[in-house]
Amino acid sequence: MKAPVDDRLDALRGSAKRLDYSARSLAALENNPRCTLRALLDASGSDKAAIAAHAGHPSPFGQSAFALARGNVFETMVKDNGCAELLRLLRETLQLTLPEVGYEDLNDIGGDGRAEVRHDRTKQVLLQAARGNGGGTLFDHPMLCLPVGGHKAFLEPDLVAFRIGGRFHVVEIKSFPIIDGQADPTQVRAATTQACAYIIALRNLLARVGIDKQAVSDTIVLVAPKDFTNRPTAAFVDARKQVAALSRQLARIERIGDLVDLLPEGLTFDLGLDKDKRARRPAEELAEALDQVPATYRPDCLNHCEMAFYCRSRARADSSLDVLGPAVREQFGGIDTTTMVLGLAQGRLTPTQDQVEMAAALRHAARLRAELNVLGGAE
Amino acid sequence: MSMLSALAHVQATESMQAVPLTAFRHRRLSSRPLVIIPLVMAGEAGAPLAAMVGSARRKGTLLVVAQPRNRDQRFAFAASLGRTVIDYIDSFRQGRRGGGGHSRYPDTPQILVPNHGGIKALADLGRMCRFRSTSGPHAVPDVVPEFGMWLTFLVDRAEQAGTSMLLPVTGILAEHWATGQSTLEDQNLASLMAWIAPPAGLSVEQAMADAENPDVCPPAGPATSPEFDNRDLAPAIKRFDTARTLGDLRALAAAESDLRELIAGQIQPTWRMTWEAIALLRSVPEAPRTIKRFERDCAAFTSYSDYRDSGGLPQRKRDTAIGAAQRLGWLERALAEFESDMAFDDPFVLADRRSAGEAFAGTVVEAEPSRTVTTASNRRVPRPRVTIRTQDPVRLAADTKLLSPSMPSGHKAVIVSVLPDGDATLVTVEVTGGMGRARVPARGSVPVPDQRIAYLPDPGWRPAPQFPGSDRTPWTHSATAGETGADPAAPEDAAAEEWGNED
Amino acid sequence: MKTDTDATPAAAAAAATDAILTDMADGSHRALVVDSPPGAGKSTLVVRAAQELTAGGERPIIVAQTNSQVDDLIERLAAAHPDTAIGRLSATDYVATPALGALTNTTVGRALGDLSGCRIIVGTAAKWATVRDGTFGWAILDESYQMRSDMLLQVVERFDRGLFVGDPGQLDPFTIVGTERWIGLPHDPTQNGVTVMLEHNRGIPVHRLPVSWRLPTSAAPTISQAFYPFTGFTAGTSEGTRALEFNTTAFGNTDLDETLAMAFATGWALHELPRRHVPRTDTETIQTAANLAGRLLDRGALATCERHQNGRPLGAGDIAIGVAHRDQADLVRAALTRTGNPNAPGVAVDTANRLQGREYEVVIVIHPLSGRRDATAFHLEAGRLCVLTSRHRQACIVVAREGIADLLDSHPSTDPVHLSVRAKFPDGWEANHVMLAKLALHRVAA
Repeated sequence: MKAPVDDRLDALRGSAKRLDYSARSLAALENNPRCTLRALLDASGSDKAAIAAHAGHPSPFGQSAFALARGNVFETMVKDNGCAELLRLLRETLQLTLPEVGYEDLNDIGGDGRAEVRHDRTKQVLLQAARGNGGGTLFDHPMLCLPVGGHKAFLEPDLVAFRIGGRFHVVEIKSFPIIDGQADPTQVRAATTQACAYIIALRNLLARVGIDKQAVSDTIVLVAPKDFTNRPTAAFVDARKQVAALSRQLARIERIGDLVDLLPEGLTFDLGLDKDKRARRPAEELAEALDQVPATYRPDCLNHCEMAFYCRSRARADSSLDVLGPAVREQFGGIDTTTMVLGLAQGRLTPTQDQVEMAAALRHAARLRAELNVLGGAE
Repeated sequence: MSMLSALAHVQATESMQAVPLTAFRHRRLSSRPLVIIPLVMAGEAGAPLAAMVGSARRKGTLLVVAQPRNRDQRFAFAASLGRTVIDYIDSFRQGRRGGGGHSRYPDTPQILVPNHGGIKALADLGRMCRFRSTSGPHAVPDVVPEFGMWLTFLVDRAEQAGTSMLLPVTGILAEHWATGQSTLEDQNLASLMAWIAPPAGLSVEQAMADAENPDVCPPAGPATSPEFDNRDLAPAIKRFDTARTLGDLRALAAAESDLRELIAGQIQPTWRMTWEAIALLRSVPEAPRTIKRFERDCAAFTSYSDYRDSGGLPQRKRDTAIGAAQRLGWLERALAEFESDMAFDDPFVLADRRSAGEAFAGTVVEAEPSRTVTTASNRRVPRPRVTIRTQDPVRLAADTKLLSPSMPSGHKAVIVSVLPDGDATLVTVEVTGGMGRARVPARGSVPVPDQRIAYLPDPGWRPAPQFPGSDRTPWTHSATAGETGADPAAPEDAAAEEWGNED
Repeated sequence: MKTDTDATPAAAAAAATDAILTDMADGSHRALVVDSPPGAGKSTLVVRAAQELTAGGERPIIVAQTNSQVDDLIERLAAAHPDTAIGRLSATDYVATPALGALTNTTVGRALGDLSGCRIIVGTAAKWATVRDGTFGWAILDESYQMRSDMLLQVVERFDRGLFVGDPGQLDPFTIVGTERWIGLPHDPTQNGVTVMLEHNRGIPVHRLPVSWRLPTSAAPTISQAFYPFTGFTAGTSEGTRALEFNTTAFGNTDLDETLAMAFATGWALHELPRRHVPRTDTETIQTAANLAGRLLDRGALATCERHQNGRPLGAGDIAIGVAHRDQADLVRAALTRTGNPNAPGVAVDTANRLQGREYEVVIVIHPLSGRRDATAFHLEAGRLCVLTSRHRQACIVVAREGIADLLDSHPSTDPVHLSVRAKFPDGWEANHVMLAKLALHRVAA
């Protein structure tokens, strides 16, 4: 008998404190849904950054103090005086007809900042509003909860929800600029992923009392600095596809048990933290444990996942074609390694039945390249 | 990507060194390029932090904005960078050749930045500067809007395939060399250089590791590394601000020179590496047809110069319907021509297309040099036929028009048939052009048996699309009459833009 | 526009056509849009609308996208209106097809001046773009969802009002140029002309043809659900109207026969090859598609439908093989010559782009995702799969390697997100899933 899934996940994490899903781990989920290593680390609430660092591949996702400061200043400015600037944008820029406006700050409940308390308060206020009993229009810092793989993940409440025409809308305030109506699509995508989690969480909350998901709009309002100024502007983001995609990926996590079943007994990513939070587990031992779990490395992981540098070194050691990226990889069909590609291209390896065609194409390509190098290709 | 290029990347991985993807450099390198390394402040829209600029490795000028959030300092920076760039551009506005409306400058400026991010940074700077007003409450120096318009011209032009007036060095390097890493990593100048020419005494592996360590190889920008920001830059800017607030001139000077030194430490490695990359690229021979595209750059440069001289308006924020359609046409034509030029010039690129069946090379096995046909106008013209045996997986269909890099220019042919012959293919072509005006083809204008010859599809001539005049946008592409907005080409109420946050 | 759900397909279609013609006659609209799902009688509508306009004293022009579309329309127009003089505006190197050359009421001309006696003038958009003067009251723009906005801009001065007809579910126009500079603009030149026109003109009526006369009852609900989730359509024929039967019995009883039998019995078949990552030129996949066509021709089949109630033998011209890439099409053509059936080379082979607007009895599709390691936007595009799986009147056979479901499952959702740009539906991922779920019910393991 294997231990129940949750126990096995706890064992994987070991003594460390459980980490909830965050914007970054949700992005990693969307970017590489099939990666077993990432799925297990996230589902077990392991600290990927600490694990990668201890395994010798620290992740490079620092954030500049300038960006943080700018973000905070901008958000404060938009929210000052009961979100006066935000209201102006909703009315003037987006031409929404907001009737009387109530403003409710759900940030701090009588000095009690605990997530559960704040979540309860959010729930109470939003459900009242949804039933048409509350006076609020703008809800600042609602604390929402998204069940991911059976665990409650409290979502950082750095947004505003507002209600118009009987529907809730999510507002994301970001400090990257909207220049002449356009913003960096990668940054917009990241903001959208985050907002989608809120939309799904909000829909879950309402669904529990039988309110239809239509009560939460899947169009997001993005508020960001206009051009090169500090003045905010706003734009709509149609997030229907992203909401659908994230819902699909979240539904998949429920199948984590299938992955856990494939793991060797006793596997753990425990860092063996001592009382000073220093990792005491030998790094080689940790690396050995990680090596037992399959990872799906893509160069794009370098942009998203704390484990990416570890995975890349593993892929390099295996001579995997994954290192070169999907465009190169696609050319070689079912062949997995650079060694195999060259072996077949140079005729040193005998192709299997499946590889005969690829081998012929590779030999033709190798012949062409050899011809070219003889012709005196620049060196 | 073709299998041939993919194989080159695998060969690079296995041999642990970059391998060539092309025989030539398909971009012109000016004898006097201007290198700009722009740095911007994290989290701040287009807030320049510094730039290193110069047209020779030993003549780099470092410009620094001590407090990037300060509007006046920002535009003081834009003005001094602008003066350098405009002086450089002006140095090419001389020696005009040719007469009348067709005269043009014989050379163009060329700005090189380390990577694509550098182009984006210049685009933002151009956008920030070109609408600024030179009078009124927030007046900027005259050079600022002028600089903004020139930058915008260069950035727009850089979108067009095959042009050389503004280029990222990583882009030119990656066009010529395949590395054993992904496209993403190839965008890091230091990582790319690690494969092509690792620093003396270092292996490629060591150089790659260094390239990703911001303490050894600071990022080539435009963003600085967060570690540097938090550890060094933020405290230094704070010291500068404090000194300024206190009016302590000595402390201010000290803080400013500290900042310069810190930023110099971040920017100089990239500066040196960019010039090394340029030297390396000079050793690659330039492709023959590069000159043809360069001449078009000269024409575009001349025409924009004249437009500036006539006091032309700044470029619009976004293209109009007709402007956008026109630009799309230019971009598509430029790309098709560039691809065809490269394949014509470069046996490597041709081989790429051969491996995909879009071109072929082989040996002439049969020729009918004296074949003629009678045209509709009852003229007898030579139409020799030639059959080529090739090992390439030809996929071109009958009636495809062809060009040949192995024949004198002007040679044209069309495919008559493509037939399998054992493991090879026999392609019969009819020569249709480049044979001279006589009844008998000129010497050497028809391939002869045993000759090695390559053919590729002729991209052909496409008529330039004709759109309605820019003042006559039709109903399908313009909002209902009466809803017309302000002319977006007019300078916006620039002075009114609020800057705030000037701490 | 609402259609009575109780009405017969013919009545619903007639009501839709009437509404369109009424709006056209009304004259208060600068443009009308008619969305037409696969085989919904778009060409019939174009012919009908041209007739109505001519009868009302107009001299309409028709703008189509390809020469074969122009030829096809002219043949239909000439047959429907033998007394109307029709002009074909053509490029200098155009050679009339034999069928067109035989028409007595059709004139081919290179310039408008050559066609001054014609009541209806038809040409490709590219040819109309070269015409510099002359303005007509009405233009009918066929396959207008495949016409790029910049092309519309080149022809729009030739007419006052436009009837835009097309299938929004097929492939979007594209450009080889990668630029984001126009994203979010209402006049983005890389968008299709219909979308751009609608962005700039409020209150344009958008009609929809509700009945597919091409797709059989076995296909219409699935195609409707997968690719037209918000509008939907029904099949025009009823259960049992269409049928395929073999002329011979299977002697070898191969997996090819099993697949053909499945397709003949149910209208769908998934011929699933063993799981393997392969390049798109994989010989086994390509030869299998060709062999299915060859086997069908070897055994001979009789197709029954509303047009041929006593059955009609299927020929090579009734069959098409659809692929995603041009090199695959070339390889399939070569593979057809190796099937051993002398008629097999007569089977039409083309990419999705070129199959748009065409119709066959049986279509064999090489699934765009077959054997791939990962899906790109190109391979996932809903329009591509829609074109490939909606060309048939009788049956559609999809050839694929096992593993597409896994591939979809592991597909990262990393498309860039843009401000103020409406998401394009249907989503390729979702559409692929609907199709795959349907095909799973018709799977034959090879």
